[in-house]
Amino acid sequence: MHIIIIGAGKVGYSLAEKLSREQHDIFLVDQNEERLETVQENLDISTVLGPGGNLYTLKEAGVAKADLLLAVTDAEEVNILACLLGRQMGVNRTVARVSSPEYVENGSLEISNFGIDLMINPELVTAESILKLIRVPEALNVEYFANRRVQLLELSVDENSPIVGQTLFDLDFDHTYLIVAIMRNGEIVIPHGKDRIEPDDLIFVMAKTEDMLAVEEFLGKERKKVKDIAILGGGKLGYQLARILEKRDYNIKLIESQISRCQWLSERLDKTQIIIGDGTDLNLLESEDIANSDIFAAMTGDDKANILVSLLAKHLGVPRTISQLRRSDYVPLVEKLGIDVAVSPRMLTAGAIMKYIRRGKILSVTFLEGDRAELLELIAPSQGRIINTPLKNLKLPRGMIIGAICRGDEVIVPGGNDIIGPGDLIIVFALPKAISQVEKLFDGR
Amino acid sequence: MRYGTLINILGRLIFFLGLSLLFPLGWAIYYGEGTGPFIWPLLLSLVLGGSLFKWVKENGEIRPREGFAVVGLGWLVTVLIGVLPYLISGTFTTFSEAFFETMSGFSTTGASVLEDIEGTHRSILFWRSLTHWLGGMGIMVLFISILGTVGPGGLQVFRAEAPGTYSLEKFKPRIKEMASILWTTYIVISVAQTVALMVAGLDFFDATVHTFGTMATGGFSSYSASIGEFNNTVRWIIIFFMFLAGVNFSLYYIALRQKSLRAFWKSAEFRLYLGIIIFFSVFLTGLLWGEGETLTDTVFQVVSITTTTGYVTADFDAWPFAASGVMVFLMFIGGCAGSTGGSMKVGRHLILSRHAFVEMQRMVRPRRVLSMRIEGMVIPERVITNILTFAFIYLFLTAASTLVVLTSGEGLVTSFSAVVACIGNIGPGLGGVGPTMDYTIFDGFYKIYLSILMLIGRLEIFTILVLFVPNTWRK
Repeated sequence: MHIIIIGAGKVGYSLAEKLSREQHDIFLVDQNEERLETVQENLDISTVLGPGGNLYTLKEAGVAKADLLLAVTDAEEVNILACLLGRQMGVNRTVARVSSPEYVENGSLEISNFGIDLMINPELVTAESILKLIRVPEALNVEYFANRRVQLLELSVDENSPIVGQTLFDLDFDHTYLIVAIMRNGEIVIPHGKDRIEPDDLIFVMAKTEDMLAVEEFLGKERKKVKDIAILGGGKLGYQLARILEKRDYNIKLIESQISRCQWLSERLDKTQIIIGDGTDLNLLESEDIANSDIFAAMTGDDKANILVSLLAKHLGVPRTISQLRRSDYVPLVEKLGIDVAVSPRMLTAGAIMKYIRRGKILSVTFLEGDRAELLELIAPSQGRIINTPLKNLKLPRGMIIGAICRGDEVIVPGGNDIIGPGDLIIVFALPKAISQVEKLFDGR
Repeated sequence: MRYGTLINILGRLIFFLGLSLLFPLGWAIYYGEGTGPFIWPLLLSLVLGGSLFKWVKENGEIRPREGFAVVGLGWLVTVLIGVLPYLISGTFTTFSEAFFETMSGFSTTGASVLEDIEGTHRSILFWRSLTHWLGGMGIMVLFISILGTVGPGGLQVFRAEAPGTYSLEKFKPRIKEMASILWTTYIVISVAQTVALMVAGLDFFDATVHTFGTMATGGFSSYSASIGEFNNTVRWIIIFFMFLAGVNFSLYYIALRQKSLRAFWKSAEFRLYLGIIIFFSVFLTGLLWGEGETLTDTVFQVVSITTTTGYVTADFDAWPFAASGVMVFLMFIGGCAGSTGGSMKVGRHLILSRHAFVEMQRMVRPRRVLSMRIEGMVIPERVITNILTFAFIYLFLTAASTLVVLTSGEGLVTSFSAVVACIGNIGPGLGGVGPTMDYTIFDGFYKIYLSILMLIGRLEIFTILVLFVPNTWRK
């Protein structure tokens, strides 16, 4: 595919990186010459210097032959203009990153008539992914598949967990579930039945959504009820998060330091308590009783402040902290520091766009840990060697595991004797090196 | 430095190079000559390359800073495999001779220490010319085009090997594609030349050998008289294809895509290249008036030396001083950037001369703001600095190496022209290394020294020199 990406920031860069590895022809447009030089040194793509919303620049990037245009600069006007121009000049699909949530909210605009296929708002994407984490607070990562019927959780294993030292064989339970992967010392592996669980492992568990609560209990995890949430920072992300949490009856406290912004927030949020003050001030946190919140979410635009205040909150006794991190490369480091979850809006945005691009034969793609593992939703072909053969006889490639099989209304978390039928919806967990083999496997030939 | 990856890639390169020995092996069987010189190196490279590739695991992708090492070491390994057929067949008895001939082949220099060409096995002569052809567009570039990019360092590998890439235009978004377009163009034009030469009466063997020598701007022939062996039609065919080989290969692709020749005319470098060849052909015709040199031969020498091919049809060493001086001058020109030609490249001369002009204007009127543009594009300061550095090292190395070679006892004309002809990948020089002579006058040490100069010249200075900068090897 010939793909034009406008904006060589974090989002644009990670999209270019992922897509060039998939052997697409990428033209990355940016106004910053130095940035483009750095990109050129690291990625095998073409770069075009110039403003993104400019007809001439788009022509330079070969817009007439482009299949896809991704406008992801931080200026939404430029993005929308570039998409509209691109569409006029024959681009098949366009994606724009927008900063006003109004574009993406349901029913506000008929986007397809507008000429843009997907509008994506990083703050909304991030807020939604935080919401998933709040609803399953003991998990580090929550993903849903097959219309929310299948759930994947990333859970941490602490030293005194009952499952430490057990092999996967030992962990038999009447509700079927599957540990699809284990992350140990920064590396993701797909485990065998004889592998043992060690302390500090992160396990990826897949089960029917309805069974998950029981499975978690079996694995020694308890789902605490979340009621009180404290949000630090009333910027775009803090506002979005408060807004979608409000609809779900949580008690929200939002701390914001600017009086005018507080005013603005109070005009728009109904149930959220808006508190003015400096969030890094211990006295304020104590007097507002932040220690008794169930979740503390540091959502300011300043990474350092987010990290510090989250650690402070953790110290005060908040069971769970979530931090926004602009620099996504720090995410693994920060989670080691003791902050429970770090979310990077740019990575999430790039992931969401990739999800949209890869749609087709693959129903959906979900990236885990940046892009170190993928979950694919696929439809089984009508014939081929994978159909109607028990899984244990299939000799699947290394680096992949079948997490769930959905047949009609039935969801099967498979064991060795289960089979894949034609037309089944299959959820596959795969490491990047196995992706091409997975695609071949489900090609039906 | 990721040594695992480096060794793994070198292993693949050796394996791949081994396969190219199948071609001369075919000729050896066809002519009933000894197959040993090819079979043993073939087996060695398959086993050695295969096991390095199999047993040494890659530890990550090639990073940009490793690109130089991959290319520099890749070339050394290539040449070390390349000497084996000469040594096993007994064509050369000393390592320095075989090393010189192989390096001269891969670097497309065309300087030779082979005294009895007609008495040498045809299969060896074919291998000698094949090294030209492989080295012309670049072994690593071919490698990339077949095996795909070697990671983020792919661009660096490409830059380190392809000639004249001081301002590499990525005319395709992916390196692999770019590399395969260049090689495809190279192969297509080569086939065209082989056919043309066969139509003109050469047999298949001679046609391919001379195609390899021409398209790579190399200069090895299967006759001691070089192109002097052939009639005027053949000479003009070779002039035409030498000219084509000196043009930026991406222009062929762009012209084909636009279905018009406009791309050539739009290229300032191409215009200058054409201008240089026409001007010096006319100029030399004037200088040689009444010397009994035909127009064909005058043009032939100009094109051959400017493109750094080094085929000869006339002994320009016997020309009047001014005329042979023109040949030495042309040795500093070279082909266009992105061609198979060697030396300093027309594009560098173009940018430097414009830059000199701009600098002088700045000196006269310091407050005047001037920016330098070529084909409407501003040339970044960094590119100019790079070219200035290149030119400095190139000329300094030429001067210093002349001193080194003078210690051999040969005169200034011979020593200087030998250095110029080797670093510029041309081949023949003047005096003791003139068009009718060869490089056997030099001892082993000087052969090795001149071979290294050829490599430095072929990989455009930086690739080899950075290998000696300690920082390159630090973890």
